[in-house]
Formats: sequence, structure tokens, C-alpha cells
Amino acid sequence: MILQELAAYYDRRIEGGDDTIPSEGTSEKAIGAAIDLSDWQLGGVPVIRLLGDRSGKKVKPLRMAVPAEIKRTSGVAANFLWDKSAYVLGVKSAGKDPAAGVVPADKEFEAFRQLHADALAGTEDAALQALLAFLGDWTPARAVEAVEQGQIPAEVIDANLIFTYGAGRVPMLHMRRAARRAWDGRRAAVAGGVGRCLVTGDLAPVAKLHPSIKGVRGAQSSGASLVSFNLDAFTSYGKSQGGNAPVSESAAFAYGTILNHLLAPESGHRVQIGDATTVFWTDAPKDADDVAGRLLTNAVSPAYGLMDEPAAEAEAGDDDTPAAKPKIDLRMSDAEAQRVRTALTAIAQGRAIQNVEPELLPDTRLYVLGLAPNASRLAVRFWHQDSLGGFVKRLHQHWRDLRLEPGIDGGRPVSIYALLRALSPQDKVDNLPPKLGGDIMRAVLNGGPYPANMAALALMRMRADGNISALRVAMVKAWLVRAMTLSPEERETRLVSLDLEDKNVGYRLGRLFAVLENLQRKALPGLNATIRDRYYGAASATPASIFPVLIRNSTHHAARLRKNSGGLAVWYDRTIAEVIDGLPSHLPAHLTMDDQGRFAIGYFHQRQTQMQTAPDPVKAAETAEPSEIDDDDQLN
Amino acid sequence: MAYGVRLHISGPRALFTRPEMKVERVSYDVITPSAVKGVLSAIHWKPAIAWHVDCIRVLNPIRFDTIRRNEVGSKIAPGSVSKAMKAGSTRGLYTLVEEDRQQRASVVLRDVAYVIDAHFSLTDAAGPDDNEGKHLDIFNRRLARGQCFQQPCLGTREFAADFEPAPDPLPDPHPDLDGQRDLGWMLYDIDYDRGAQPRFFRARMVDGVIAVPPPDSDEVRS
Repeated sequence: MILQELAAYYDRRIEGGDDTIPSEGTSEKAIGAAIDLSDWQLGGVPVIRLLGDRSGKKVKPLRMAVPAEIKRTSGVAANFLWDKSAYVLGVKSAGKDPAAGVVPADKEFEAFRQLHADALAGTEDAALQALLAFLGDWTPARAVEAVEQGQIPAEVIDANLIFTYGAGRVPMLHMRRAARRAWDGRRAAVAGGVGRCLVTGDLAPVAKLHPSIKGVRGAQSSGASLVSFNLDAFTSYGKSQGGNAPVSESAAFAYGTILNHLLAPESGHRVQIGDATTVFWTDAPKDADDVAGRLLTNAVSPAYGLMDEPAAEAEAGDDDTPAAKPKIDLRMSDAEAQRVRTALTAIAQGRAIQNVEPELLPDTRLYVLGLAPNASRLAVRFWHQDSLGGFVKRLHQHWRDLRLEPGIDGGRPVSIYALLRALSPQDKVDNLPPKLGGDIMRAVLNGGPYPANMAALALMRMRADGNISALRVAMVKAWLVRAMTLSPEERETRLVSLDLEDKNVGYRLGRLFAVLENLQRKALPGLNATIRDRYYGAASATPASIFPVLIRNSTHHAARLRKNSGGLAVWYDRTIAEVIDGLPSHLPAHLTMDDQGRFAIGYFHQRQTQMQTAPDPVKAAETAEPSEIDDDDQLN
Repeated sequence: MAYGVRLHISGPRALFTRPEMKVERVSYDVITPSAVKGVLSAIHWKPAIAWHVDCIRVLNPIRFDTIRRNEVGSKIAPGSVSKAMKAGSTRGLYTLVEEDRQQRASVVLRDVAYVIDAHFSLTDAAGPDDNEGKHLDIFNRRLARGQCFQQPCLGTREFAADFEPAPDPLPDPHPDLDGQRDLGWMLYDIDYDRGAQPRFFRARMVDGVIAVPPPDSDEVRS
């Protein structure tokens, strides 16, 4: 499933003529220098040419396809016709400090010499013969001497080196036909036993070790394995290593290469959701595939700081604490960014994908893979296949379920990253439970219920910091409407804006609380802490013990207000009476999580509506005393 | 199918581990024939009969969930067990789970339900007392009563399976399952006669139904 689809994607890219992806049996490596063997004499030091762009301050190494890198964990193992200076010349730096000088690397050089002596024995190619002669004659001790005398430039130490011979069309040794043939034979010879490949179904040499996957956040930077059997509890039936999961060498190479390609930072297919590094790909041709990748990554997370940038600014302006801005990676041109923004807004309005991006077809298959590190291995967080049209429909559904009136951020679609940040303590997404991001993503992908801890966390954050922000309320609302299993029409309207008929006790109490708070503000302008700051948590969880106190106090607020502006006091009296009218005679001692959610929604709706529809004196009071509106309200 | 049986199995969670992702486990999309055989054998099995799965009907949409569990990283080696047997003492034969913890993630299936068609054949071990009718009756009786030798499970021991005779008429599969879906190479069973050799087949689901090839067909490859 996962490996099959990745391998198929690799084949599609290669067959589509994409030359940015290494072909089988090769790796792309940064090469620092070439050793020219054409004029080398026994006992001499070969000519070494530095490669890459060295004009700037930082050297840009030359990237080149070389025979596939072997997986080196701790032991000594040489690569074919290229490697670090320790292997190729037998010299490495003595320590991290460049001043420490160089030391001979006998073991590594011997491994390199042995590999080539075996693989190239009996070769008739002049260049390869020259290489064998060089390796037979050279010693690490001479390399150290040559470096110290300046015959070998210091830049080559620890860099990757290749060999060249002559000035012909293919001076690189590893590109010569004889070398390639020797390498293919060598690979076939060292390959594991033949088995039935789980990916292709063919009988083929089975990969003993699977490729390292780089670019998953939190995993080792040198890469971690998706398929590995690193402890004996993981093996079965006495099989070892890759024998536990027979995958052919070529399928392992294909899935590893293409997954590394997708996970590269600039691929445009990769996005971070909570702790899950997620990649998107489709079965569309390359250009359309890239468009889809860019669109979807931006729908999920502001990888390019696109969707949430204005929101981040607004928050930074409102809050004294600097908002933890996502790392903005602006590799898109303004025009591209505008295009993505337009497309996402159109999707949020429910337009079909082919009308948004004509290149994309609704029945294109879409694949979503979320990976997270787990103890030096990689674990699959989620895996989803769908049609592009289906995914867009579910994305639209997700945004519709989040809808509140008035809209969040003026109706702009919100990314999952923004949701996660609204839930996180101290604005740091890292503080969230590790699974949450993946669980929300899964709910978006398959249209199922949102995780309960999304709502629980939102409620907890509201109680903890008293910020009843639109995003948090929207998440509670989305969780509630999805859990209610409603018809699509009902879902469209339920809990979106103030509902005077809703008799739910949590909802009513939330509304009452908003009215009481507002009355207190009007009566006592300039208070440092209102009843919301003091009582929100208790009122939403144990109303029976709090509301009697609040209502008793509110009579004093009303009395005070009556002295200043009678009309306003009457309006509050009437509103309070209307809200209380729908409440049961006995207030519940506790509210369930459901009802606490409705409490928050009721509070939010009532507060929003009060700002828009209250009689003129209320509005006048609002505008006359802007200072009394809390900075952190974010009511827009 | 003269000696065929039909049963309904279901459970809130299931984990049919894929061999290529058996460390950080990921489940197959549907139950494997090998797991079905485990369920059947838990209800009724004798050396005289061998179970063969004919068809798997998937009833519920395929949904996944992720869980993490604390497990251990090593097994007790058989060598140390035989040493302990020779010495007649279990000294040193233990695993300290606190010191050998490995947290492992699993992508498991949620709310699965299948209707299984299977049949059995008599093996060489069948004696003069064994006949098909007898074993068929025993199975159906045990199935209707909910009897089993051990609680059957959905892939791994911790996800118990509920089983019952298949409802009549058969429920329709969920509309999500309509159409044709290639499920890739799937474990068929493990051939213990030939050194625990795993055998695979290409699973295809058409409108929620997976036809399982017979064990000697060309579609089953080892």
C-alpha cells in the first residue's frame, strides 16, 4: 500500500522524464574534488582538481550522480569509485579543529582498496587498470606526507572525491561503461537471497537494509528507516533483517529515493502537522502534481506563511508576547502565492477543484502520508488515499464545520496549523500532545469526528487563560456538530450564530454569562478584572454554585447603571429575563464536556450579537469607551 | 461448496500487521486469509481438518486510528532456555520490562466487520471416525452457541473478535467500498512445511468483496 504507491510514483516520475530524480543504482552526492590519474606515475602524487563553485564565501559543492551510496552505520565500508578522503586517499582530519592536522586512515583505505581489487579484478579498461595500480601503490602514510607538504590541497580532506582519467567525453571513472558493468555485477553478487517482493510481486534479490529516509522532523538528521528490524523482538520465524519483509532491492531503492525527494525542504509536497511530517502526492503529470502539492500543503499549514500571515500579525499586535510565528519559507513568487490564496478561498466557498485549478482533475488520485519519528525509526502517523475532488470536498466540509458568524478572520480559510496554535499553551505547538495534529488531520481527511481532546483542550485553554477566541470556539463547535451526526443541511446552520430558541442549559448559561459580564462592564467601566476573568472556569463547569452569586451581584450593577442611563438598564433587565426564561428552575451542579462546549459557544454568540444589535446606548457606550474592551478579545 | 460455512466477525479494533511495517505496525486494509483461518481454528479445529478461505466480504468503511503502546525490545533466546533446562534452574532467565522498554506505534483499523465464506477439507490425519458432516455440524453448533477454544482475535491477541452466524440476507457493504480497489500483495498464509515460508497473493476488492484464491492456484506465490 504505502511502499507500492511510493514505488509507483517513482516509476511515474522517471517515465515522465524527470531528471531531477536519481535513477536506480545511483545516489546524488556533493563532490568536492576529482583525482586525475591520467599522468600519474608509480610513487608519485596524483593531480587533484577542486570541483564546485568556489567564488563565493561558501563553497557550493558540485552535485553529481555516483554509484549508490552504501548504508554505513558505524563500521567501515567503502563506496565504489568515490568516497570521502579517508577511504580514497587514506587521510582524514585528526579532529574537529582544522588546526589539529591530519592522520592516516589505514582501515578505511584498505577497505576501499580491497573493494576495488575484488570488483575490478581482470579489467581491461586502461582507466580502471590505472586506478588499481594507484590503489596498489598508494599508502595512507604518503597521503599524510603529501598533505603536509601541500601537494594535496587541504580542501579535499573529508570531502567526497571521484577519479578522472584523460580528457575524453567521459573523464569520470564511475561513468565509464566498464565501471558501470563491473558495478552492476557487483551489486547482483552481494545482493541478499532471492525472494518474493512484497511491492512488485516479482522474484528478485531482497534488500537486507532499507534506505534511510531524511527530512522527518525530530528524527536523526542522518536519516531513519521506515522499514527496519533493529531489535530481536521485531523479528519473526528466525528471519533476520530485511528477510522479515521481503522487498526487492529495486523497489526499496525506488520508494526510498522518491520519499527522500518528497521530504526535501524545497519539494513543495511536504508540510509539518504537529509532530507528523506529511507529504502529499498525486498520480497527475509532474506539473499538475506540483500545483496540487503546493495547494494542499498550504491548505494544511502555512509552510510559506501564506494563509496565516495576516492573522499572525494581528495577534502580534494584540498581544504583548511576541507570537511564535511559523518559519516562513518564501520560495513562491508573489504571483504564485496570490494564485494559491485565490484557489484556497474558492475551495472554502465550495467550488469544485477543476473550476479552481483547471490543470487538476477531480478524479486524480491523491496520497497523503504522515510520518513521525519513534525511537530511531519512523512510524506512520496516517495514510490516506482519496480522489482530489473528494479531498477538496472534505476540506470544504471542514471549513464549513468551523464556520461561526461573524467569520473567523473575515471568512478566510484557516489552516490546521492555526488551529493547533490556538490550542497550544504559550503559543508553542510543541507543547501539544504529540498525536493531536495527526488526529485532526485524519478527521479532516476522512470527514470523521474530530478527536475529543481537540475540544477538551480548547475548553481547558479558555478556562486557563480566559481567552474565548473565535478559533477556539469554532473548534468546539466543529467537534460538536460532527459528533451530532446531522444531515448536511442541519449541519450548515447549527450553532453558527446566536439561536434564541436553543434551550440547551449550557448554551443558555453561556449567553447569560455574557450578558452579566457586559452589564458589569457597563456599570463599572475600567475594571481590571471582570467576572469573566474571575469566574469563567467555575461558571462553565459548576454553574449551580456560581450563578446565584453572579445574579445577586448583577442586581447591584443594574442599580448603578440605572442611575446613569436608565434605558440601558431596562434593556439589560429584559435581556436577562429573556435568557433566564429558558433555563430550568434548578441549575445543574456540573456541566458535561458537551454542555461546557455549548456554554462557550453561547457565550461567544451572545457577546458577538450584543456588539452588533444592542440598542444605541449600548453601542454608544462601546464606542465611547474602547479601553474597556479587552486586548485579547480578538472579536473580529 | 458442500462443506462451506459462513460467519460474521467484527470488532472495535483490528491490526492485521503488514510484514514490511511490523515494527512500527501498520495494518493491512482488510483481514488477511491467514487471520481468518486463525478465527476459524479458534472456533473449531482438529488435526483431521484444514480450513480454506473462499471469500471475504468487507462490510464497514476502512478507517484507521493510531495508538502507541509500551512493549519490550528483546525476546528470551531459545539458547538460554535450553541452558536453564539443562541446569534445572531458571536463574538468569528473565526480562526486566522496565529496562527493556520500546514504545511502538500502531496504525490500527477501527470498527471492522466481515462476512467470511470458508470451507474445510479432510487431511491425511483423518481417521475412520471423521467425516465432513460431523465436523460441519460441530462447527455450526459451536458458532451458533458462541463457543471457542480460545477467544478469536482480529490480527493480534489484544483485539478480540466477536463472531456469529452470518445474517440472512447479507447486509450490503458500505457505499464507500464501491468500485474496484487493488490492495497490493497480501499475506496468504505461512507454509510451515517449508521452513515457515510466507505466501502472498494479489488482493483485489470489488464492491467490498475479495475473492481468495485456492491454496494451490498460481495466484498464490511464495
